[in-house]
Amino acid sequence: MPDDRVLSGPAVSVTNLTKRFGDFTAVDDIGFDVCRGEVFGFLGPNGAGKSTTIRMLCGIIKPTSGEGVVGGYSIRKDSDRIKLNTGYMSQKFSLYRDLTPYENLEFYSGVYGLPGNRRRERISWALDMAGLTNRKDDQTGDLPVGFQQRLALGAAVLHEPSILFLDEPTAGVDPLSRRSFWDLIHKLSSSGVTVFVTTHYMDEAEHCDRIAFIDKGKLIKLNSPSALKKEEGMERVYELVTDNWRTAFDLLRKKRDRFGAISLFGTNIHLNLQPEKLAAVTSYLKSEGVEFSPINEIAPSLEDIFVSLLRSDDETGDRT
Amino acid sequence: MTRLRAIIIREIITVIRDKRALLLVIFLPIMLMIVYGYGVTFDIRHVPMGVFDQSKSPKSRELISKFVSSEYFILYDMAESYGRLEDLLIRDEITLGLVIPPSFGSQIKNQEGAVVQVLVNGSDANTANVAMGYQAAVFSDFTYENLDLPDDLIVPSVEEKTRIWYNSELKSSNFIVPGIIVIVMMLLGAILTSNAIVKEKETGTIEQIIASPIKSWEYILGKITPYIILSMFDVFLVVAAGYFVFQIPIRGSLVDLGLFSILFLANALGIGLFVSAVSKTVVTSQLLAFMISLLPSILLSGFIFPISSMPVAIQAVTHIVPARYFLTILRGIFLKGVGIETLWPQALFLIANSLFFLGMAATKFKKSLD
Repeated sequence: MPDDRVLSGPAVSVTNLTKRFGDFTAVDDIGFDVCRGEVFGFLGPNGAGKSTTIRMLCGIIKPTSGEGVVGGYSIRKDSDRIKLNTGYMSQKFSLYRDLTPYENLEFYSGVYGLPGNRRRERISWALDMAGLTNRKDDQTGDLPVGFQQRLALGAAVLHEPSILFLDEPTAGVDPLSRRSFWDLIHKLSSSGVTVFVTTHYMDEAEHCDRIAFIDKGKLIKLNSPSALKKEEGMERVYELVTDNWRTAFDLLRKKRDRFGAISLFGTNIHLNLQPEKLAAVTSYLKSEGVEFSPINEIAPSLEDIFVSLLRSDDETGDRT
Repeated sequence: MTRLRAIIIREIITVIRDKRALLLVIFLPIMLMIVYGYGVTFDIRHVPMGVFDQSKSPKSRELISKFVSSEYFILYDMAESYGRLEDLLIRDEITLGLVIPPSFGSQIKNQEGAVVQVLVNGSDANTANVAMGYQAAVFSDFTYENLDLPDDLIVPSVEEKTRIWYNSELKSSNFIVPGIIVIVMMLLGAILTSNAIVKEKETGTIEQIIASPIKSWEYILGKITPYIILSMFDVFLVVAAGYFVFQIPIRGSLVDLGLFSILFLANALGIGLFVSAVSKTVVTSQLLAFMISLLPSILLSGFIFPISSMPVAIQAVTHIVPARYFLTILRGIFLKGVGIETLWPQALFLIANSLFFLGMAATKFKKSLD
């Protein structure tokens, strides 16, 4: 039975959300909206507060202050209603390893109160989706990680939630399985499910409709991947190709404060610079006797943007 | 209801697949029953005694053999001096020392009466007390046989005729085995569920449970049900052991016994779940379950120390010790043959306590991820 509240307004709306554990502020006054049906990426380094945010939104832990509204219900007051309308897949594999895939799905269909017909239908759908129809009676703990993740996804959407929270769903999964996992996410999203996903794989972030960057509990940036790349006032990204990449990288890293962030992509060096500093870099490298091909500006990858965002946050933030 | 059913089924599958749990359920109760059943006894026999016999007469030997033939005492040492006797007492090698004066033989022969010194090692007050009782009996026996008492000593008096009810032979096993059953079931129940929640925390499956619409009472009830069935099997096992191995009578109804057992198990399992909900690792949880179930059941249940002789504050604490009620219930059913018509107050206390422990477990479970 679709709920009216779920069908109107943003899927998720967060204002001034804060979570403290003792002295440590895991999530610091963040706010954002997630539109219905979008794939919303939540990016940040480890310990940035991604999981804490997602767990507050799922009703697993209570916020210290601030408010979140998920599918029209408050995470402070109506977490029971939220749990009926959302699916959640935690960072750590959290199905029962000593049960078979079929028993796990049977358990969760019971937990979400699916009636007999629909239960059979959804379980066989989930087994099919996870590619486990032939292995439904194996022990879940013995399955390869990729299968386990898809089974967990199947269990999380068994009750056809309108909002799905995925906390680093592809951590530790091989690239091929990651690709097929994202195909599943897109399939769900195109059927109208709102997907809220955390990741630290930058290539995965490109799959999202919008991305929120979070660091040290603070929301730094929120936009679509393409808009982020075009954004004004951002540093440009230049690519330096040289045979002496090791020397060049060490040299530039020492001058990081003067020039800007650098990172290695294979043997290519990416420089996040303001354009007017380019000449200084060129002459510096020449004076140190490093030979290199002409430096070109390149379209920044999300990773470049991420590095530059984190750096500017470090500079403005109160580092002690 | 479907949620509850799902949880129960899942828990049953887990228990069945966990071989160690099954071993625990079958062998632990039997082992504990045998060890405690044979090991714990309040009957005091073979009290070691030392004798410093200065008389060395037929009469003094007769007195000594009276002690030894009673099987309550064994002759540990014939001391050559008073100092030797003292030494044995200090080193705790004897409980009782007998000092027979040189004139003992002639005094008895001449019908004069005699004085014998008895030294009792009071450092173990309980044994000392019992030993005093035994020696008094030996002496009065000896006096009666050897001294002609004047007729005027027999005066009209109020005579007592004691009858001991419920345990006419005063067999201490009749008294102890019910206590052992209580302790074994308490320990087993608490240990069984002590894994139930904390293991889900360790493996991470609890995340998914908390993110689901499962209510904490459904979770707790679902967890406990399979274990009630399982531990009822153990009740059957230990009661059978008590009946066949230790020959305790069962004078009351088995149906009542079953119903009371369920109430008691809800307490034991509830304590295990509570401990499991507050612990962070399986090891802590098991240790905690072990201590919380075992110590109060032994010390505060009335099994060893009568509750009526405890300080008032401690007496108050015993009200939340489920073993206290179950002990009364078991002794009532086994020895007195009474049932619910007499034991309903204990049943009410067990119900209240189980709600308390299960409620605490549910509350703690709810907060366990914060």
